[in-house]
Amino acid sequence: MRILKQNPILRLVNSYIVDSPQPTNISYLWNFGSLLALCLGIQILTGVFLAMRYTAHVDLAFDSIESIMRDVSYGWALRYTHANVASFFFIFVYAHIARGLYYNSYKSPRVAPWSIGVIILVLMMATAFLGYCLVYGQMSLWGLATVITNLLSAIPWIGNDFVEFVWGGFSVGNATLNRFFSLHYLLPFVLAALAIVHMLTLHTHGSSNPLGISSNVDKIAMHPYFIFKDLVTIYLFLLVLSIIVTQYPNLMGHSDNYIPANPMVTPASIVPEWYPFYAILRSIPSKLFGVIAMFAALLIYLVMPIADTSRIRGNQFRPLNKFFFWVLVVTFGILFWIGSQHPVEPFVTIGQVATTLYFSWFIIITPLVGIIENSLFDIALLAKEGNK
Amino acid sequence: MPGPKVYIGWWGAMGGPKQKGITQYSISPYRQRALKGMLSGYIVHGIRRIGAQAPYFVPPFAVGYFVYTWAKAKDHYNNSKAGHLAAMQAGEHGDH
Ligand code: HEM
Repeated sequence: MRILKQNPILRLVNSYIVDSPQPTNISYLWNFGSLLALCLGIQILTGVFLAMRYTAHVDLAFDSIESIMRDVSYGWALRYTHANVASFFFIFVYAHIARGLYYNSYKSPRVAPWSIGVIILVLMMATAFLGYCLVYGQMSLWGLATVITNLLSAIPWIGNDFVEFVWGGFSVGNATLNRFFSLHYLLPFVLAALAIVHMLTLHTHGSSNPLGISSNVDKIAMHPYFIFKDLVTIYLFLLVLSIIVTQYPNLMGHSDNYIPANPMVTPASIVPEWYPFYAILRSIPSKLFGVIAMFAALLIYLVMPIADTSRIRGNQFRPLNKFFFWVLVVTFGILFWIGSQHPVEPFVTIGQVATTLYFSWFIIITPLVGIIENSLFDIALLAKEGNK
Repeated sequence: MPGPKVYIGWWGAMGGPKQKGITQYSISPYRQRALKGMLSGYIVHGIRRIGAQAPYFVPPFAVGYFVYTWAKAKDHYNNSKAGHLAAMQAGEHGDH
């Protein structure tokens, strides 16, 4: 045990995951961080092995993946794990962010972990987009590579030149596939570095807790208490994952991506896997402002530490804000669904209303609810003072 | 090196009020039942706790579900024979 506390590197391990003081009252919603770290680890491991056989060439990419699935021993497990953990990664990150919004984790002193988290989210999406393109099926080529890169053409003046610069040609082709592969290999390591900084900044002040007040009077050690609590959800995840990988591996995929990419044929309908943000993009008639809105929809999470005017941390004692938290969840769900629909009425109007609600949640509702709740608390306290 | 204010200390200097008179009780590990009443307790208390949150999440989800079913039915109608006919009579669909 002494070496764990004296060796300069093991000391760090000790202070982060062995002796690290944790609030006694953090709920299961605080388990998503360790699940996310596990997902990143699984993705890097399986990805490195997939890359040993994957071939980044327009003529070979699709077949090389089929070959991994059919010819390599347990290659199917490697590939299906990589594909499905990517989906779980997003489910977990949305849950992790929702926990942050519900318990106002973004408030000082945790502005840094939150802001780094938003950058992690953007980078995760970029990585997933690049990875999906690598399969080079119809959805890779049209749903993502073409539609998403074309968004860049909305940049004023240089847009069209810039898209060709990104493609490395006049359309999505071999050069594009190669640079996407290169970046898809690189970005997860950038993500890993950011995740470490995320935990570094969190470690300075420690985790928050459902009550939103200081838990310095009531801490217990990470090990064994939260190591084993984290293991509960880790085993649960591995159980569900193994059922999905072995029994329903294509549950979360799109069948069109089993058709090799064909630049001469567009798929019947193009549905990027970016539903909520795609819905926001489409609900704005101007292409440029649509693209800006789509990125703003992600970056707007950065305003939370300023937008939240409440003096109280966490929704436990903020009934009005608790209600509006669920309003945001439902709005997000509606955008998710609208993004997968054809752009016809009534879906267009619903998408526009949901987009408006989404943005007003951050810049109007949240600050206003904070001010209202603060004032109500003040009034209640004043009344109490008066009674004395 | 100067640094930011840190909100948490290390064991023994956590930053909370001084603790005194701590008493610990425990029963023999042979007598403990770690999961005693977990499931039966959850049936009562879990449902009660989730139920207490219902006023906050049921209305938004109800509205969302209503919008979802309404729009789906409307879309279904728009793509039906009757819907096409109605649109044509209203002069919306041009000549197809
Ligand atoms: C690869 C992705 C990520 C990893 C590996 C990760 C990891 C972690 C871990 C291990 C914790 C501590 C345990 C917990 O509270 O769950 C944590 C806390 C936190 N994370 Fe993340 N995270 C990731 C992404 C994000 C994102 C996208 C955001 C926000 C946009 C975010 C915001 C936060 C905040 C605010 C906390 C402190 C919560 C509190 O104590 O109340 N994280 N993260």
